[in-house]
Amino acid sequence: MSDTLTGHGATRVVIRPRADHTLADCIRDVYSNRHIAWTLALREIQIRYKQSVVGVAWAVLQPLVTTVVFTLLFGLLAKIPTDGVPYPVFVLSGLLFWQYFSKVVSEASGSLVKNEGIITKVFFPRLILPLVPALSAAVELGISLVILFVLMLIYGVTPTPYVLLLPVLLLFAGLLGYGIGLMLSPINAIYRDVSIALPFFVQIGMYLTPVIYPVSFVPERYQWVFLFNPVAALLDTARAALLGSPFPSLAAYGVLLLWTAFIFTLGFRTFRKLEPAIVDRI
Amino acid sequence: MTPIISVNGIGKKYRLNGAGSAHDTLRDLLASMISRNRPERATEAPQANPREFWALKDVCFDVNEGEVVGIVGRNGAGKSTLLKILSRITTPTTGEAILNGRVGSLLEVGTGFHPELTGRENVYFNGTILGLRKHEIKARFDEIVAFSGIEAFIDTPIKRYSSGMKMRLAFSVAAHLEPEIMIIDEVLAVGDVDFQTKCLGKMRDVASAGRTVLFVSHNMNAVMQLCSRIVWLERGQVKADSKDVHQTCGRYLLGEEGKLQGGHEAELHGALECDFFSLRSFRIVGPEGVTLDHPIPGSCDFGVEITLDIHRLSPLLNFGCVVVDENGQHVLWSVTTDKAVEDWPELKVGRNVITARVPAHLLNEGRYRMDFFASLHGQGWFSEPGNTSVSVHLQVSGGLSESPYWRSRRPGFIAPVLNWVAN
Repeated sequence: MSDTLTGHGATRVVIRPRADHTLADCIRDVYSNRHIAWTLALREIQIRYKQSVVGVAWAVLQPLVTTVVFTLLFGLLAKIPTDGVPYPVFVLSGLLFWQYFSKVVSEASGSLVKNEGIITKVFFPRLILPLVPALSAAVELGISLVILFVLMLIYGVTPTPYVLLLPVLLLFAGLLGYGIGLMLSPINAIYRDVSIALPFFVQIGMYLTPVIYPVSFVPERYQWVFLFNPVAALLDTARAALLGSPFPSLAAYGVLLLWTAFIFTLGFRTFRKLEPAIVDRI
Repeated sequence: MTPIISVNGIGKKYRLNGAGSAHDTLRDLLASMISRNRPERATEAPQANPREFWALKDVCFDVNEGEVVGIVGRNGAGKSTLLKILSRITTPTTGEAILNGRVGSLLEVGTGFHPELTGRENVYFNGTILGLRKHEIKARFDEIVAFSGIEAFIDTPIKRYSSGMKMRLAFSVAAHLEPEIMIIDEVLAVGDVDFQTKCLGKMRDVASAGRTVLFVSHNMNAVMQLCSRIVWLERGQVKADSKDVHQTCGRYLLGEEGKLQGGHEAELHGALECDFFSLRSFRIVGPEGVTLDHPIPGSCDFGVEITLDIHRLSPLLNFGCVVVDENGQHVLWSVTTDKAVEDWPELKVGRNVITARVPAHLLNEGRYRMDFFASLHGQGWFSEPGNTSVSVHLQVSGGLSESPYWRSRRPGFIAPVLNWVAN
């Protein structure tokens, strides 16, 4: 017997009708199989650009073109005030962050269906699958961040030292997206409606989040609404760190933590409950 | 010694499609919450409870380390479901199974291969999914590729592979994982004879290295060669579990012990229906057209009679029979389109009774199974020999020749009496 081999978990496996995993077991499962998540994420990126001529340039081109369009529409025509930050820099920073989050949400929600071919044939903790987009989208974000920095250089915007917080913010956004994906992916595996309805809600979500406008654009008496939007807090913090705009209130961070904990727990619970039905009904 | 696999009362219930509680879309779910009368969908073959179906029921067995267990049973007997449960792809509805070792399973061709990626990339990916670290795959990579025999295509995207090539690569990856328990579902269906032999050899190596193998196959030769034990599933339950592989395989191949079932009547033994025809009966008949349910001597000829209601005609329709011996070897195939086109039996829409006679002094002494053969030539099977529920049994006993010397079963597959003359 080869002792160099590492399996998934312990060598003694008990198979029972209901998975009697606790939340801690789930997290341990994900952690001990993180190399599978990485492999899947790398495969995702490999596949995405394999047959495209321009290749990775798409990761740069897409946000760049969107920035140009938004700058024309909202910066020049609608003249949205952005607390003194040049509009292109302002909107791109928001877009990149929002796109990361929305990509994680939508790809994580579709992850089980997409990987049907694998989950009906091989066993591995399926909790891993909704996590993969959080990793692969992060790599793409890394590439597109380059143009943000170039743009900042052009407009003479210098990042604050808080820029080092960026990975932490991404981690939170990824975890939020993962949590939502954990909740929606098994439902989508059984009822495909989720994948039909989701793009609509993601679109609405962008307008409810200060992506193309700053929070200050909204009348003060309505600004409390953003308190309930965890992505708004993350996005504003990212902007504050990058562009030196004001940080959100402490209350917003408290709400953010509560949201993350809530969505995560709900996600794990939903996933655990529906997991036995996934393969039979996908 | 604690068993390496312990299966205890495993059951698996499926809800059938079209049953009220299985909603395909959220809309169905919402609609059914609002209104009580759901739209009826066409359901065939009413059962005791048409909404649910037990693919496995109260299955119990233990497997010790180093055993090679063949799981046999007809289509729908629950073999694949059992393997899926043991490989943790799906969960059982009842019962519990304990596995004391790492499981490597090969359930279907091309386990998780991605068509856009090359063979090399897929080997690494597949290996990771199956539980190996990168350096472990690297150490085995050359061996895996060499075994699969597709070195030349390893950097070609999988989408350009033939199904046989995918199969070779998938088996190769799974076989080189060195799990303590290897679960293999019908891998010999694809691939050429050489590769099948190679696979069997590899599985034998795995077994002789003291690992445990669970093996599902319809290829009874392979099962008999490889397995030290047979678990026979029928309608989701263990019908037999024995270490006498040959005897059990023989029984399985021939169906029930004791009485011979010489006729398959649609009403009694199950229907076979398709767009083209409905089978009424498939029988082995004696001289007066009665169903043969007793052994016959080799000196008697007998008839094969197929009664069909044809709904739609096609020149591609083939009907016939395949005689299979106790070892699962096909002794002969005979179909309605064997002769020149003008000599084919003329089929018509409506009731058709097709007969053929099998001459005396052809079959050797022994028990045989005769499978109903029905296909659309070159297009697909309606009833595939070795994989059909329509089969009958036949026993040839004595009467091989008039000679005082040759009275018992003779060596060789068939036992014709040729005419020897001297001039």
